[in-house]
Amino acid sequence: MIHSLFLINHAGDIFLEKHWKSVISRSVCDYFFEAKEKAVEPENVPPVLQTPHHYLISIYRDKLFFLSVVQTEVPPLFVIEFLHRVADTIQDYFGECTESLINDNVVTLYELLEEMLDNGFPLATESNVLKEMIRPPTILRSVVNTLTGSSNVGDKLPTGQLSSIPWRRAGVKYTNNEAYFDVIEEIDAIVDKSGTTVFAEIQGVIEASVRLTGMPDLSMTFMNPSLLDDVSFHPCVRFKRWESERALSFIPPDGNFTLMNYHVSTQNLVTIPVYVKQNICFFETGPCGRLEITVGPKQTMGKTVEALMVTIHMPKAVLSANLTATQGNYTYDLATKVLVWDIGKLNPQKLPNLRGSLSLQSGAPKPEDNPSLNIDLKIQQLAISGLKVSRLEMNGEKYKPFKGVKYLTKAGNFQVRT
Amino acid sequence: MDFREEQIARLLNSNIVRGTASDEQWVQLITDYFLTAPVEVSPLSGSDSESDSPDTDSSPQTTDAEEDEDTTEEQPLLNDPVAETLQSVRHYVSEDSAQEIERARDYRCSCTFNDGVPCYTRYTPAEMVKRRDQMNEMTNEASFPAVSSLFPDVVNCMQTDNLELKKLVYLYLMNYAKSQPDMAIMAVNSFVKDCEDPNPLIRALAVRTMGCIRVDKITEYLCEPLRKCLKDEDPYVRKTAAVCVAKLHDINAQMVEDQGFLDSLRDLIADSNPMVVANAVAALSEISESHPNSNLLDLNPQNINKLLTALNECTEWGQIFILDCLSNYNPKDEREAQSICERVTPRLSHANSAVVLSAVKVLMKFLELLPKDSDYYNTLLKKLSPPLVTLLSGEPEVQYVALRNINLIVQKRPEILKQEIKVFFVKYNDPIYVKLEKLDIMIRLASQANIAQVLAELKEYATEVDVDFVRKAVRAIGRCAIKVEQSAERCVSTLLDLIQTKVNYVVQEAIVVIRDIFRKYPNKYESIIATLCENLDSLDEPDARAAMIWIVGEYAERIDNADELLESFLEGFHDESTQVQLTLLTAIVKLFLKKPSETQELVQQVLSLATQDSDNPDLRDRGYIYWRLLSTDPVTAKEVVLSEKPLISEETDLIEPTLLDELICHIGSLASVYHKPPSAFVEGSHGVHRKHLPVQNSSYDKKCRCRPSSERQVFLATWKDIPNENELQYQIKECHLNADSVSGKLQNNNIFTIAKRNVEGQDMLYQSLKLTNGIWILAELRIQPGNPNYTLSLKCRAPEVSQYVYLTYDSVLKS
Repeated sequence: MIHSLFLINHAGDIFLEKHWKSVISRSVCDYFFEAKEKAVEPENVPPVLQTPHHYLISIYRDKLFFLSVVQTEVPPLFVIEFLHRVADTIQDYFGECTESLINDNVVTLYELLEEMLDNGFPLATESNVLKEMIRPPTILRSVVNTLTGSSNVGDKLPTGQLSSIPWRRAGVKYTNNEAYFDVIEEIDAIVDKSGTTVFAEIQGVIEASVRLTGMPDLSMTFMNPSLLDDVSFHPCVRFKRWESERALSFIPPDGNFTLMNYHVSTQNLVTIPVYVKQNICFFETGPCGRLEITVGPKQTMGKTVEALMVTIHMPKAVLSANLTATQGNYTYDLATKVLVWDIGKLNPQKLPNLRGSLSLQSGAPKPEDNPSLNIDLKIQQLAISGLKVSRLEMNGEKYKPFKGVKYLTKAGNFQVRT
Repeated sequence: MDFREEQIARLLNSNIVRGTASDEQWVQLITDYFLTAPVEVSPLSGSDSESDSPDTDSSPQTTDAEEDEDTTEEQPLLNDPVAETLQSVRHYVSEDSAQEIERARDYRCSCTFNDGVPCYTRYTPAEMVKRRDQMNEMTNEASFPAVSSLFPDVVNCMQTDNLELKKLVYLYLMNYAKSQPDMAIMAVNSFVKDCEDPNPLIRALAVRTMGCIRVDKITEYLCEPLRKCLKDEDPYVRKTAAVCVAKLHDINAQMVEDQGFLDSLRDLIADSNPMVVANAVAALSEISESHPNSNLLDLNPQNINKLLTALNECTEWGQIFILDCLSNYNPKDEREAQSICERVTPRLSHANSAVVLSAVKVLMKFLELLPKDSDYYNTLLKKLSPPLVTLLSGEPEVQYVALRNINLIVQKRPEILKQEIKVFFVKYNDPIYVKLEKLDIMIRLASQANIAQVLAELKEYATEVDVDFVRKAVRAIGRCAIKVEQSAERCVSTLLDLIQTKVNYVVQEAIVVIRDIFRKYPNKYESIIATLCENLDSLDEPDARAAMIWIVGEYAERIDNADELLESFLEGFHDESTQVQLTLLTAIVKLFLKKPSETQELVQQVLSLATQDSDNPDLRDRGYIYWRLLSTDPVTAKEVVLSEKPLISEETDLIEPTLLDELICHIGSLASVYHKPPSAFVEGSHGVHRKHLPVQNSSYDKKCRCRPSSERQVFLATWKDIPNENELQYQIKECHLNADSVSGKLQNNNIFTIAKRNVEGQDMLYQSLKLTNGIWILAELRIQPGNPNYTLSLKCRAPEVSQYVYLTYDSVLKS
């Protein structure tokens, strides 16, 4: 099981270590640093490493490495999932996952880690349960603690952990009872230079924010559940009901949580909301090149495309870009060689266009690799797969809650090759 | 200062800063000890240092603090309230009195926070030293580390009702008990007491902490409380105790066995609470890892049923443990296998990827037991694909592990993902380790149906930036050509396009794969040789040079200036790598055999270079062989050197089937990521029981159900893979059958003939069988017409079974 955890920053300094069994010397991380050195980019460090006596399993998140040391054969995904859970918890507690915040809250984090694992076995990883035992630091609470002399460590038995619904604490009370659901879809697509879709899929997620008194039992049905190719649920969802009626039936956790993830990959169902016409070329002679990009709406179901942004990772040889944009602004970062064109709202009457010249390092050979374009966009009030919630009902409690469902489509990993 | 100490120091310290006014003065006391490393203070020790100390307002009192409580309280000099508090607190903690700690708290609350700003005071170094010296005197141990000198005080504090303080004390004990085993005994009583606390949280905490103190003496006292906790009425305590058994086993395995804790753990599998069951399973699995041969987890249908019930209700982590445990079970028949599969399938929809992959493992394993033509089998196959695809939309680390496992699954059951090749298309911002794995799987899934798409993708990748990735993409194009015959032409033209780019490493990689294409499709694409030759000068890697030389030698008769080309390589013969030298030697000999008139000088030259000027035995030997061949019998030389080459296999780096089956049993584990059996890398696991896929029914010699297309290759590869000393020969006497009836007879007994050939009038039959315990046996049966005695050669990794296989053969053939 998980033996130790090291948090390592971008520069390669270990700034926190935690051992759940005997202490393992930090020198074990040297193998990791070696691999990090070899990988050049931090994203490219292989997540599972083998050393003579230990296995190192790491994740890279928010510019930090979470490195765990294990000594026996364990499922690596179990470790990876747990590490992500640690990062999630840090984010949940302190708002962000950064080195300085972790250093400021090292006590709470230590207490959290102690509660999350026991001898390498996960103990309590549900945010609800953890918050019951260790209260997240807030300014108000620290003032109150100061005055009353109470601590941030709860003195109750985490009751949720034992009930058959460990994700919900007992005795929840609200004056305003509300349940909001966001259906968020991300389009992952690769479009080749001729504009043909090579690959497209939709990753959907239903995020919920539920603040309801007591033990509400919710059920949600969809107009068209057959769209979904694969689903994964929060543990609260009753799988049998889904199997038989395609309805989500659940007693929700209190607060914010991810109700379900789904996946739509059947090609013809995935519509691509915008098209991109691009032409990037470098001349054989002379250190320059030309760039022209136009973005237009394709299938937007009558909605407006917002927050449109095009990101291009230029070849190393590109020194500067002299471009004009008919809409929005562009920036070219010399150090990272990233060209960002922030367009904003897409106006179908007047298509945004970016054109101009690129200048290359003199003497450098013509770049061989073609830069890919990354597209970002948002469409409010639309789930691009066409998924719609038809009903949301509540049983088990007498009051009438406020309910709401919002839809949002975003670009996930939307790439256009040139 | 030790890093860990620093962290604990900060931990404890900031509790004070935040004003957790529990028994915090005590906490601060530790803090201060922590913050003052012995090395730093030691120069100040002694009575002189006291007066040197700048912060003298409280130090004079320190001296008597330990001895005289009353004087401290009445010190007239004590006008600073903080210092006053500290004085008294420091005092009180060494008293065993909760009441006085309460008093200390009151002091603290009234004085610490001026203007709402929390503040805390440290001891001056002089005070620290003083205090430490006193402690040292008490314990008579000069080299006492400062941090652990507080042991007695800490132990006294264990009896507090304040949960946070308790946790801190426990944390302290976990970290320092090891360095002070004798003192740690003092904590035992409190532990035992806490284990009987009315609050189950305290009971659990106590037993949990006790297990973390890796001191033998403490461990002895742990047994009784642990036994009680294992039978506690509260499931939270029971589940904590279950884990504690695993901890204890790690420290003292013998004791755990003697005390019968393993039995108690087994009893917990029948517990009513799913979390307790899950933890018991987890603990047992961990223990059994260091216990190679024991059958700790007695998996009978009854227990399996309990596990399956718990599976639905326990936490995601518990589900992983239970699923992993289920995968070790061998259902007795297909009906049982199917019912387990039905109950495991819902786990494929879990949000936790580890649960999904563990469920996949169980299903992949039990699929073996289901009849292939049943509806359920096919439904199950269909159900496996979407979750695997979904894993690929997770974080890159999850993708990596998933891809390594999918690589195995695709080799075992290609039908599951054959429609999904698009999800393995590479995105430019994927981490390199994901890209390389995706590429591997793309090639495995390439087929006639999707080859156009795959090729277009590969061509795209070949223009990327990362050199490793580009090379692999080029190599992949070549592999596609070899695998899908219909696409060979397109692949070759793609490779030519890439050669035109003149990017050095692309050209070199392309030439290496073109050689393989020539091997696979001889006399088909020679027209491109001219283009290849243009790039001769830019080749600087041995692989590429060797490939080019091979091509020139092989097609010497069609290349007008072959002698010139080869001669140009000869100049720096001794600087070349062995691989290039050997290829060059063979190529020139080939050239000589094809165009003897013009190249006599060249061949002389290379033979003398190889035999006289080289100190590489391989090269010398090969040189001599050629030399003698050429000088004694040119006709035979031609036969040998220009013989027809065996075809190359279409699938490269396939995992050997026995290993693949073993790895399938380890899906989701480290073994599946390394593609090695655990025995090959897990420490101390030698002799661990190897896992095997279950076999459908239990007849003695059950043939594997291998895919016929690749069977020959697999047979060949496996045959070569097994060391020669494992080969045993037997004679089957007095058998009057011809090859076909032998083969038929064996087939009726589930031994299938994979290949048959005729060598010098003898019939050779190649067969393979797999025993129920997963052992593979490869057999070669030689039948000479007219001779009633057959020769049976058996090759097997476990040669001890060969004898019995021979007996089976004998009885089958004579029956």
